[in-house]
Amino acid sequence: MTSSAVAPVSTSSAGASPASPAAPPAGAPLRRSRNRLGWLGSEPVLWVLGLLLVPVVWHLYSMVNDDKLIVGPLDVARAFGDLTASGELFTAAQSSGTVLVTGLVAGAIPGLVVGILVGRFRLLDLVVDPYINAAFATPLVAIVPILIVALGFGVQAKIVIVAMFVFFPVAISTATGVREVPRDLVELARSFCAREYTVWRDVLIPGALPYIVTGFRLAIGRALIAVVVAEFSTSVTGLGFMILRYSRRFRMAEGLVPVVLLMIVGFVLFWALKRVEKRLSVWRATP
Amino acid sequence: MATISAQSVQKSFDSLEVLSRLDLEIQDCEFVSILGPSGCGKTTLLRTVAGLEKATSGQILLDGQPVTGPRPDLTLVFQNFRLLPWRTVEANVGYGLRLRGVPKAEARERVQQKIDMVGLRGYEKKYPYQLSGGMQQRVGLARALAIDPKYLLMDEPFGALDAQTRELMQEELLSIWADSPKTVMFVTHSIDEAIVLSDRVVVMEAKPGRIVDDIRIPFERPRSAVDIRTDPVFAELRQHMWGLLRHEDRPVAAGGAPGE
Ligand SMILES: Nc1ncnc2c1ncn2[C@@H]1O[C@H](COP(=O)(O)OP(=O)(O)O)[C@@H](O)[C@H]1O
Ligand SMILES: [Mg+2]
Repeated sequence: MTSSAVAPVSTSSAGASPASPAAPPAGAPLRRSRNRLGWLGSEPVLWVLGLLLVPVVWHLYSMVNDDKLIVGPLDVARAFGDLTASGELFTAAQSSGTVLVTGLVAGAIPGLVVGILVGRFRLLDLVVDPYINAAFATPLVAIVPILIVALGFGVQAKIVIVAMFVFFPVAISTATGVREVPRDLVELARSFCAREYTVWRDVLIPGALPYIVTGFRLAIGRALIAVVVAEFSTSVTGLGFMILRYSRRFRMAEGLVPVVLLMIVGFVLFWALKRVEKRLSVWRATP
Repeated sequence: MATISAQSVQKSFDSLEVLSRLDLEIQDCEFVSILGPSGCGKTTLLRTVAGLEKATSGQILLDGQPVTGPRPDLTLVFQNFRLLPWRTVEANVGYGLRLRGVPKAEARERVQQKIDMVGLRGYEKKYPYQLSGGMQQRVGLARALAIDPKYLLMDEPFGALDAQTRELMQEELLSIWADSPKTVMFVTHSIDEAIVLSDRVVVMEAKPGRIVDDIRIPFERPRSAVDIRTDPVFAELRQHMWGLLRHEDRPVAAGGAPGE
């Protein structure tokens, strides 16, 4: 498998590395000093200001624009409150969340296993590689209608769609990472009479971890897309369906509520993944 | 009994003959050094004995049994350390014990003892990238010694150490070997080291790799490195081995290797 698309994003691992002699003393600014901005320049303040920037611009735009279809952030916030109070948002989120989590697991575990097998065994790689690459290159959205005809409109169909979106990036990234693990270390484990699964646990998975995390990051993004796509075409529940229903009635504020929620979910998942990665990569020298 | 017997072992990589019908007998608890120029097949020989490489023809017997793969009572200390970068010193040293299912408490004790022995107390929680090459090499050594194997194969295990650490490690190795005797194959580039440590020194030549001499070292044990070095027999042995190795295109260092 060739996939420059999934090379791991170099992560700044654990900031606390006791033995990195090249690192500058703590607190020494690498970039230009921000002090000229005074208290405005402190990082948390800038962070909050940055976060407010887009909503404020959006709000101003919706004020000066008379178009009823252009809603502002406050309208969306109010709709968010209403839909939460009525329980509608929760029901939809629960339905989508189930599909998301199940689909992620159902796609990631086989993806991990296939990725390791393909990365580990060259002959298998030779056989499977064209299929995986072809499938990765195919816009999977295109086969969603076909899948639905085959699997029906139920939850299973949605889970399969999400799992499919998740499987390929995880498998391809993992295989790339496993191929990068030094053969020497595999042999070391073998020389201590390690069994195959021990080699996976002790050598292949930790060694491929940066790539696996990159695969998961791609997979989370694609899973969120897959949930919405699946719900657009199959269901009468879930966040995707909520978007459809309200936007068809030109209730833009309500229609945007699930979008905002999906955004928050994506953000939280990415953040959690980053935390996990940071914990797991203390062994790497900080660049 | 932990005997090693190589019977007309021949090993080729494609058309390159690396070991040519090599015969070698090692007795139970014998300490045998292998001396020879780079590329003469020392590593290949150890790997074949360890079951990581299959002889093209001929066979290796350990205690009379043909080698078919890695075995739990044999450890190979690799020339290039091979620490798991994602594990601490402690976890690397304990790796073999863990794979063998040694109870945690016992493993911890043995790990600490070996860490102390190689002089890395205080570095237990460090990761390999935080260590110098010489320290990494000592972790690899401690990992092998921790499982107290019947067969201990070492591939230039002190190559990355400075002269002083190297001598300390030689002493430690001798005392371990005296406390818990094992059959040792020890590859080195250093003639002095080979003489000080071994019962026998096997000298190899390259192209194709073969044994050109097998020299018994007569010094009594326990030995004192200082006494040995001043013994006239030592000078004689040293001279003899030099003569054997000089013909090779690559010179062999007589003393220690470059430091850490
Ligand atoms: N896996 C391999 N494939 C091809 N050639 C190899 C392989 N391993 C070793 N060799 C060759 O075998 C010869 C002996 O290597 P080695 O056993 O590492 O020698 P030494 O340890 O004595 O320096 C060298 O010429 C080396 O290039
Ligand atoms: Mg070698």
